[in-house]
Amino acid sequence: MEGVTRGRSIIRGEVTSIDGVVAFASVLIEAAPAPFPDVAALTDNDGRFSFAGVGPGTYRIVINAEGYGVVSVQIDVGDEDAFVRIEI
Amino acid sequence: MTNVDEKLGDHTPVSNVTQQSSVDEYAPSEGSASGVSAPGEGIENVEGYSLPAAQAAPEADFLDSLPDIAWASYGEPAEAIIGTDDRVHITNTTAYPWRANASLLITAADGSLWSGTGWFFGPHTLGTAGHVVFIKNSGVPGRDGWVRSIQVMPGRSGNQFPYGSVTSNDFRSVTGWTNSGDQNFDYGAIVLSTNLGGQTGWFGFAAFDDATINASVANITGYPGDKPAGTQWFHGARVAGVNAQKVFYETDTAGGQSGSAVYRIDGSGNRYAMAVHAYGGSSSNSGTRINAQVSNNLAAWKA
Repeated sequence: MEGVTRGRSIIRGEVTSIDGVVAFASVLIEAAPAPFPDVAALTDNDGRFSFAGVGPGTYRIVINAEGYGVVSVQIDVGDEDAFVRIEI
Repeated sequence: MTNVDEKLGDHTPVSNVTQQSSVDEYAPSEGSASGVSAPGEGIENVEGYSLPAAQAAPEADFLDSLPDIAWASYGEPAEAIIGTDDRVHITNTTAYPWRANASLLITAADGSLWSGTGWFFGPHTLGTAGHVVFIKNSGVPGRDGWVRSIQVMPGRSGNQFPYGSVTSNDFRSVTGWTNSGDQNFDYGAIVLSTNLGGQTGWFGFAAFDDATINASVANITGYPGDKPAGTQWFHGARVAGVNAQKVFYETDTAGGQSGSAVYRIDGSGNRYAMAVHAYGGSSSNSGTRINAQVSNNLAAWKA
C-alpha cells in the first residue's frame, strides 16, 4: 500500500468520536504533494491508522465512518513523522 | 530478494506460492450469471452520466514528464478527483460487467487492514495493483511483504454480497515491484481456489498500441473509501496520455480503487482492460499499462 513516495515519514492517526475510538473507519489520502497509492486504510480496534513513505508537504485526509459521515482534515508533514487525532 | 530473469527484467513474475498456470486466453466473458449491462459507444451506459465534451489533447512532452513533475514538485496537492466529482453509484451490481469487479478487504502482514479493488480476468483470477498484494518500503515494522490474506467480494453492494466472498492467500506480482517498488511495475493478481469468475464473468485484456489507448475512454469502476462502505462507483473519462509503462486519465477515483481495471469498450461492446489503476495525481490519475510484458504475465497467471 505504500512504498512509492520518495519520503520516509509516516502519518499516524487516531480516529475518535464522542463515544470513544472508532474502529473500521475508512481513511484515505484525498490530496497529496505527489501521486499516491489509491488504497484506503481501515482503522484498527484502537481507531488507529498509518500511511508510510510520505514526503514533506500538505496532505488532505478523508475519514469515512458508518454513522458519522465523511470528515476531511488537512495535515502538514515535514521531515519527521506526523500524528493526527481526528474527532468525527 | 527474488532473482531477476535476464530476459524478462523487472517483469520477472513472482508469487508467494510455487505453482504457476499458463492459459493463452485474453477474451472477456459475461459469465454464467444472468444480466448484462449494455455499453454505450466506448463508455458504459450509466444513468446519470455522460462523457464531457472533447478537450484538447495535452502535448506529448508534458505527458512524458507528468509523473516526474508531480514527484519533484511539492506544491499544490495532487488529487484523485479531477475537477468535479463525476462518479456514479452502481446499484445493479449483479449485472455484467459490474459483477466482475470485487471489493477487497486486505489484511497486511502486520495485521493492518486496507481496502482495494480487483477485477476478474479468468474464472479463478483477479487483476489488481502490485501494492495491493505486496507491500514495499512501508517503514512500518512487520508490514512489508506479501499480504496475509485478501477477502474477495465480487459485485458487492453495501451490505449485500450477491456472490458471497472468497478469501485468498495466493498472489502474483513481478520483481520490478517486489524487489524495487517501482510504480511502473505496480501490478499483480489474486488467485482464488474457486471458479467464482465463471459465474461473474471477466474482463478481457490486451496490449493496445498508443493510438488505440489515446483514442479510448478510460472506464473505471471500483470501491472508493469515501463513499458508503462497500458500494461500487463508476466514472469514465478520456485518456490523457500514455507512455511505455503507464496510462494517464482524468477519470475520478478515490482511495480504495487501487487495482481497478482501466478498460476500454471496443466497437463490438467488448470490455478490455488496458491498464491497472494504481495512483491518484494532480492533473490526472494513472495506472500500470498492460503492455506486452504485462499482458504475457497476466496470460500466464490466468486460471
